Amino acid sequence: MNNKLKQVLTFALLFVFAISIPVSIYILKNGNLDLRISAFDSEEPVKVMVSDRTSSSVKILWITEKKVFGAIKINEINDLISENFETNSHFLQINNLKTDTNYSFSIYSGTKEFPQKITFKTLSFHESNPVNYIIYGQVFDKTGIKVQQKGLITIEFRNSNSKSELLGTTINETGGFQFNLKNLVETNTGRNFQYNQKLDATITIFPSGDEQPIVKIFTFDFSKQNQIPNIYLGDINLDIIPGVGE
Amino acid sequence: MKNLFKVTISILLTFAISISVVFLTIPTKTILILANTFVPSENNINNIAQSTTSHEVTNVIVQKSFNDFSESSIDKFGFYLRIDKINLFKAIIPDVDPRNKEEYVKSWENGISHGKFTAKPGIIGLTYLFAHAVSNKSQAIEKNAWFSYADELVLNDKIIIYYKGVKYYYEITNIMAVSPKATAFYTGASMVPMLRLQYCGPPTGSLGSRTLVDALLIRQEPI
Repeated sequence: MNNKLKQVLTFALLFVFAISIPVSIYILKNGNLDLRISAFDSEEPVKVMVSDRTSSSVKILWITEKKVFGAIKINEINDLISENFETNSHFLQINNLKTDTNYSFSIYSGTKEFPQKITFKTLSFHESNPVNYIIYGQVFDKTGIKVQQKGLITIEFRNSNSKSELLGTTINETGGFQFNLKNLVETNTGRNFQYNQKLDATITIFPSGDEQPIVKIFTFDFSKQNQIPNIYLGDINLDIIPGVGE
Repeated sequence: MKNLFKVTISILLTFAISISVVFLTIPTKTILILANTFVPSENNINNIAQSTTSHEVTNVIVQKSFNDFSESSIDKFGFYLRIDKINLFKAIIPDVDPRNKEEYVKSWENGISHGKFTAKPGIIGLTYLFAHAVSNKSQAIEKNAWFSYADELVLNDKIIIYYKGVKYYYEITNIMAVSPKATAFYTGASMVPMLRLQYCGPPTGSLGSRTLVDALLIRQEPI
């Protein structure tokens, strides 16, 4: 082996060694080698949902990969409602809508407009004497020990003979979320939903734009407590609590 | 040429060391290993799912009853449930999969099922135990329905668990009926050491709902 070849080989080995040190430390510290640059993340709204319908308002929720300012333009009104901070998990409440009316909308996300195919219709009756009733909880991510700091969460209620409208909100930086049940109505009849009783609550968590939603079902007596048990996104896909008939 | 080579190597090493120092100063994001806690992480769940459990029972019972053991007859390092109020003293079968009906029904031949993916006593977490219950109590033994009398339990009743040489004393703090579909209650996660018993009902033995009996750890002592 001549000297030049030796030098090249030594150089190559040292180069690999030198590069491997910072790369190894980066992986050890972060748990992966995720070197994505946020500038390349997508601004496109995904998981777009309409929730919290009343006779005069709705809430629109969506997720973006990139943290951006979002805004909604209701086409029939031509009015723009916008967020005042950059985020991945978006929701905007649209008020002062007409009763029993169809609407379409576009989402402005970052620098682009994204017309939406889904439409919504406001409810055909007026809510009676709504009183604020807040329920709240916290979501833990798939590590089981850290809070889920972004994403969307929806909840709907069922009792023996009726189902509620879907409520939705974002998960905040502490993993927290809250819903106000004051305008909750029955989907079919439009009557105020009686929430101060024992109900089955189906909670769906959308952790990010590219992950499958995770569904958690609780039975909960909302006349006695406002706090929902902690929600963990690690899931065993259990369909039913074990049991056999007599 | 040799000098140029040495200079290049020196620059490379200096670069590598300086980058490493920068990374070392950033607060670590490595996931903490919580040795004393049941962590309901996706990794933990996958590891538990891949583990195989033999469901062996150390003391074989010939004649079935609600009260198979006494404190003097148990294997000190085994896993047992004792509720004096309902005269229950049974072995607990660890890591029974709640998604596999055949597996959990078979486990009741030997005792009470400990739910797979939930905590064991002695760590921070929720220990989930489940068993069959029937309304016709005279058929309970024949049908391995060991929680048939659990409907007599009320708040502040005492429950004892024996596990790996330690005796754990729990006190009932909450009893609630939930929908069979309310699977979010099947968890090993809890902020404090906790026990959850689950059986069918009310009414006891019916499939329309499930009863959850939650108990908090009061104290523990070596056997």
